[in-house]
Amino acid sequence: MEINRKVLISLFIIGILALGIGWGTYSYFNDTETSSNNTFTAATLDLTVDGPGFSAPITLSNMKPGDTTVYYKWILKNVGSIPGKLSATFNIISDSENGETEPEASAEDEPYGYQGARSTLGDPTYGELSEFLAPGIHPDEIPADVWQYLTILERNDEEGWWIGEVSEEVDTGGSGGWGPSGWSVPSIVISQWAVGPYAYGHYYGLKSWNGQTFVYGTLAPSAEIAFFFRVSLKGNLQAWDGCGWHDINDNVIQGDSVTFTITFTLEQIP
Amino acid sequence: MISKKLLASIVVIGILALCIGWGTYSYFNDTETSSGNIFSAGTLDLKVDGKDNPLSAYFSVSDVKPGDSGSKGIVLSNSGTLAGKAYIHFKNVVDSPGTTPEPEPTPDNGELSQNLYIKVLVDSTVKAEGYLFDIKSNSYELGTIAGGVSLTVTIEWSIPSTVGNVIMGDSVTFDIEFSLEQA
Repeated sequence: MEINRKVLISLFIIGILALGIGWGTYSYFNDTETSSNNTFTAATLDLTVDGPGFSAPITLSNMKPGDTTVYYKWILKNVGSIPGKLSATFNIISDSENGETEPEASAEDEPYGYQGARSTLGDPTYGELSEFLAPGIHPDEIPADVWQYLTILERNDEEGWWIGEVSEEVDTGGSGGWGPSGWSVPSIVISQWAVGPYAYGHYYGLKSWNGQTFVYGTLAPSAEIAFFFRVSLKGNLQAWDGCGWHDINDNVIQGDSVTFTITFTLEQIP
Repeated sequence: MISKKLLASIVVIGILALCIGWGTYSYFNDTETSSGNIFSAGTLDLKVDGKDNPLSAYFSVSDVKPGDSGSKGIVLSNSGTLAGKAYIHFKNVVDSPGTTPEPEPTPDNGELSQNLYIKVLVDSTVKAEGYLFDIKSNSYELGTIAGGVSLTVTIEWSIPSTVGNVIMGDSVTFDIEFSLEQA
C-alpha cells in the first residue's frame, strides 16, 4: 500500500511536470497564415451516340449484287467539358459462308488470279461477303440534289473519309436522310469509304477496315456530328489482283453473311 | 537521538558558512557596473507573398485531366527579428464527386485528392511529396528563416496520365497553412 501510494504520487508529479513542458512549448512564438478555398476540378469527357443499332443490331438480309442500303445516321455528341479526339473502329465479328449452294460451290471452284478472296474460296468455313461489300459513301456517290446544300470541309483520300457541312435538310429517303431532321443547322456530317485496293494482296471492301481505327479530328464540348453510313454490293463483283480488276462470278457470295461493329471513341487530347 | 545530533551539526556548519561569508566581505573589492542593458522580446512575423490572413486561394483550377500539371511559387518572409522554422500543412481536404458522366465508374465518392500528386520544393529540395489525400495528415518543415529573410516555396501538382475516368467531374477543396515557429 505504502509503495503504491508513492508510485501514484510520483506519477502525479511526473504528470504535472509533463504538463509544464507542454505549456512551455505552446508559449514559444509562432505565427500562422492560411490560404483557403484552393480548388481543383476535373474535366469530363463523355460521348453520346444516338441512332439505330444500339439497342438491337441493324440486320440486312437477302442482299444481292446491285443492292444499296438506305443511309444510316448516327449523331455523335461530346457532352463533356473538354474537347476530345473522335475516332471510329471497325471490327468484323464474323464472315460466314452459311453453307454453300450448288452454284456458289461451283463459282468458288473457278480459278481467280485474286489474292484476297482466293484463300477462302472453296473453303466452306469462310464467307466472302465482307470483301465485296462496299461500305460508306464516296464523295462521288453523293446525290446531286444534296450537293447544293453540302460543303466538303475536309477530305482524306488516303484513309477514305470526308467531313462536310449540310446547310438544309434534304430528304433523300431512307431512315437517315441527308441533313438535319431534329438537329441544328448547319450540321456537320462525316462519312468513310473503302479506299483500295492500295497494295498487292490487300483486301478491298468492308474487310479492309477490319480492326482499323480512323481518327477524324477534334470534337469540341457540346459539338455534334452525324456519322453517315451505308453499304452497297456492286452489280458486277470484281476483284483486284494487284495489277488489274478481274470479274468474279457473283455467285461466290450467295447466302454469305457478315457481322460487324462500329465503335466510336472520344479520347482525351493530352 | 541521531537526528538531534544531525540537526546540531547542520546548524554548526551553517554558522561556519556564514562566517566564511562575512570573511569574504573583508577582502579588497572593486565593483564596475555595465548599465543600460536591455532585454526586449523579439518578434516572429510570417508574411506569405507579403500578406497576412486572410490569404487568397492559390489554386483555382478547373477542367483538369490526366496528364495535366502545374506549379506555383510562394514567398514566405519572416518580417520579425527572430529566426523561425517554417511549416506547410495541407488541411481541410474535402472531396466532392461533382458530376458523374457515363464513362466514370460508380459509386463516385470524389477521388481527386487520391489522384492529385503534390510536391513541395524549396530550392529544388523536395520537402513534401505525395497524393493530397496522404500528405494532408502531416505538417512538413520547410526550413529555418532568419529574421528579415524570405524563402521561396514551390508547390507542384500533377495528375498521372494513368488515372483514367475515375476522377471525371470530381473536385477537391483544401487549405494551405503556413506557420512559422520560434526556432
